[in-house]
Amino acid sequence: MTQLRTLSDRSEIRALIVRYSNALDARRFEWLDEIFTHDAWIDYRATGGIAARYPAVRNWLPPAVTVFPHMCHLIGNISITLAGDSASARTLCLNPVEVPLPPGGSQIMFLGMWYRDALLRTAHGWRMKERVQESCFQHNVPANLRVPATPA
Amino acid sequence: MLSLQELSDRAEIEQLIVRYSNSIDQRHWDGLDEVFTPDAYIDYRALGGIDGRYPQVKAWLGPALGNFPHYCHMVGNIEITLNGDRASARTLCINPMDTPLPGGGSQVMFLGLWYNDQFVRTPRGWRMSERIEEGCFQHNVPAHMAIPAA
Repeated sequence: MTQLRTLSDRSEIRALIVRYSNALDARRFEWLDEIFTHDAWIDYRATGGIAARYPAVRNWLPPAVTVFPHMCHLIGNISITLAGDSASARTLCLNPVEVPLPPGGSQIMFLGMWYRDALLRTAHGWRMKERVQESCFQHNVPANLRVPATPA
Repeated sequence: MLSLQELSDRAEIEQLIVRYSNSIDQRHWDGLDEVFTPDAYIDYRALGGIDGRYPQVKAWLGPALGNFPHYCHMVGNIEITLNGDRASARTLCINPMDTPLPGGGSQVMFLGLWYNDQFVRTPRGWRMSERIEEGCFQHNVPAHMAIPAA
């Protein structure tokens, strides 16, 4: 039988991964301070973003994301590997984004990606110390938007 | 470390949220009697539905959803806040709907929404006492369908 400690760790890490999606989708960027370590490494290059330490990403996100009137980051397939006070996880994300079009109106594009995360147990609970995007599919991306092509 | 009680509460509430989707998608309306409290408040207005107490909404659902040959309500991102015998949750739902077209044939539209829920622990387990929809995205909605803009 799985031990209570392991069930608790898995539950808390899943909640942290969901919390990240909710922080972005509700545009509550300050919640990210409770998700990442101060020096976390974040790599959004697979979907056209930046790669940097958390403070730089925290500043980059609000203007980069508020361009989009609606979006959500639906996650699933969370696979967690625990190793004492460290953990790693791989999570699938289905990400519909409403993109404004130059002549007016908007279009929904669908991005599929994985998050490869490294996590750390701290005095305040589990935190992400690394999040690297790995691209899967892109559907219905407007011509005016640049998203890097998915490597074959 | 989470207690067994908290892990159990979270697992039961997650199951309740999934059971709602399965009852709706299987058109098993009586299954909802085990999901909602008898006087639960439900608000579907964000996607063009009604709001009201559970008995009124249950009676509305069958005819309203009978227009759609196929649909599903895939949920995820369930964020639960426990508070003793009460709880609240926010859940994301991706909802593809097969929509008949006036000229014949059909078209699948994709709706994205959140459920903002309240729960209460009863002698028969956790029940939903409030469910309020919040719109996110709408994709491929047929021109003849009127859905409020998110």
